[in-house]
Amino acid sequence: MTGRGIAKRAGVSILIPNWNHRFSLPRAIRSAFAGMRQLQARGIACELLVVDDASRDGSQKYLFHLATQYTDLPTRIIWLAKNVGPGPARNIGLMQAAYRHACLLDADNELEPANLWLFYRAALETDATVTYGVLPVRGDDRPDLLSNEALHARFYRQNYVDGFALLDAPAALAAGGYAPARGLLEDWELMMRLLARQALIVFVPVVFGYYYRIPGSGHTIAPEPLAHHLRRIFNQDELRSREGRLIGRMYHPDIGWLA
Amino acid sequence: MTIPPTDIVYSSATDWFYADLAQRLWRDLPPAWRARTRLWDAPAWLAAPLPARIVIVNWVETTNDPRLSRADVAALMSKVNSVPERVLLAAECVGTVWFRRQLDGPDWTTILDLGRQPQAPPEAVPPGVYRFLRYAPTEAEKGRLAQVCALPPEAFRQRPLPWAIVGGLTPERAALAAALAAWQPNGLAFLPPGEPFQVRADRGRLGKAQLARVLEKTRLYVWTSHHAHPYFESFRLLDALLAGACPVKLDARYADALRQAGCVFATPDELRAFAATEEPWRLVVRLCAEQLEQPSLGAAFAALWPA
Repeated sequence: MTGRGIAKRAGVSILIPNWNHRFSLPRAIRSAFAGMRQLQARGIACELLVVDDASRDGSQKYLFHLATQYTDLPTRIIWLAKNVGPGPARNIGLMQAAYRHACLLDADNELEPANLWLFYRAALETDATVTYGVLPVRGDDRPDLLSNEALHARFYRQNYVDGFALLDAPAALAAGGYAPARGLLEDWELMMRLLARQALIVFVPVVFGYYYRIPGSGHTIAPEPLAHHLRRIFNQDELRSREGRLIGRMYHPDIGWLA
Repeated sequence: MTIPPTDIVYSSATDWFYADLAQRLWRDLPPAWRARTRLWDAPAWLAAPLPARIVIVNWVETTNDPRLSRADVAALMSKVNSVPERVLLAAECVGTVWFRRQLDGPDWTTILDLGRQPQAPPEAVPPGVYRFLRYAPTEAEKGRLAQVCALPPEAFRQRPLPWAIVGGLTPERAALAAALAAWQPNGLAFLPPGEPFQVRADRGRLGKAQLARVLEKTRLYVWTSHHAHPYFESFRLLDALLAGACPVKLDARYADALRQAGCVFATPDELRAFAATEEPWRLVVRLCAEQLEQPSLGAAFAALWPA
């Protein structure tokens, strides 16, 4: 896959890949629409793009009626005839996205609509390839936060940043997009590939959205055999992860660079 | 007045708060004291001549200095024990592991507890060893606090960040950040897994200057702690006031014991009610005035050892 030379207009495509998440899809889409209204109020072009990965749980019926219910908000649904998995579904979304910045929102998560504008500002002001923020965890007894610091070299040992982030779609596609056969590790693998290309990955210490821990749902902590395989590619002999240095940066649009 | 030769020792390679505290204390000492007091980074002190009095600013942080080998730490312990008067300066909550670990160090002749109110020392502290030093601004910082008092209330209201919370990630702080975000989503939450104030810039943590820049854009600097005793974290109050932010501590268990500060609440709902009024700015002004009336940090320290 190559996205080299792809030009997209300024704005935000909220990209929701969906496979059998009818139960949580309305929550994700409601938050996306609320975020879009906040962007529109500031004159920023945006759209909702749902890639339905051949769901069989009634998602399609719900999505079919969506565009008729929310006529004031640009909404597109891409129907995949055959299930391709999360990585390829995201890649299709990135390629089809009308706008340069894609907000990757999994169907079981929820965007913090009031802050999407802030993250978009951060992405524009820093020219970051990936802009991410704090994700309070819901659906779990123990309060927790994910994606709550800038990237350190130990990121090469274990992923601690969820893929729920704002992505520069042409830059991600130019890097090859999501690898199709990485199991649950597409996010991590793409981030490490972007880092290898000197991409700027920026943490904004503000709530980006809410991460729902649901039994059977993908989790940021990677299965060890798969993780080991990726470490052999990006972190031979743990040389990178032992460096102990900062490999991402921290920024807030109202404050400036913080790290 | 006879002031014994005194060394203040700290680590410049761990948590910046303690290095900053040591430097501010030394700079703020009365001139006669400063002339008799030397400020040392811990590794350099190992080769220094013995003083009559040593003040170690947080023993645990000092011995965590990555430049010190285990042999160096043993040598440091031995050398500190050779000084006739051995003072530990710590700003830790009594009863926590961080306080207990301070007692694993040299045989302190004085444990100087820096904070907003005295604490009951643990039984392991011999009678007469515990002393209290009220945390206060330096004379230079008093100038800044006076400037804050003179700011118009509109400037406070126009700050873009409704709240900021900074600390190591704990379930309690994660829950508080989520509660604050549910109220005002655009606050700043920096809660990494550890060492939020680590000194090294390459760790991606907040240094003193970065924290000040955050707080200068923030209305409420909120913190919570989960100690088994009432404890205020008074350094956060001064950090907030110097930046013109309103300090707020959330403490469900001990709010009543700490309420006289005016900025301690039991629940986020109490905080929301407070924040909906003009009280936060009034509180900033009141607390600044209170700080201005106190003896400065160096003067208060010197007053503990009268001639």
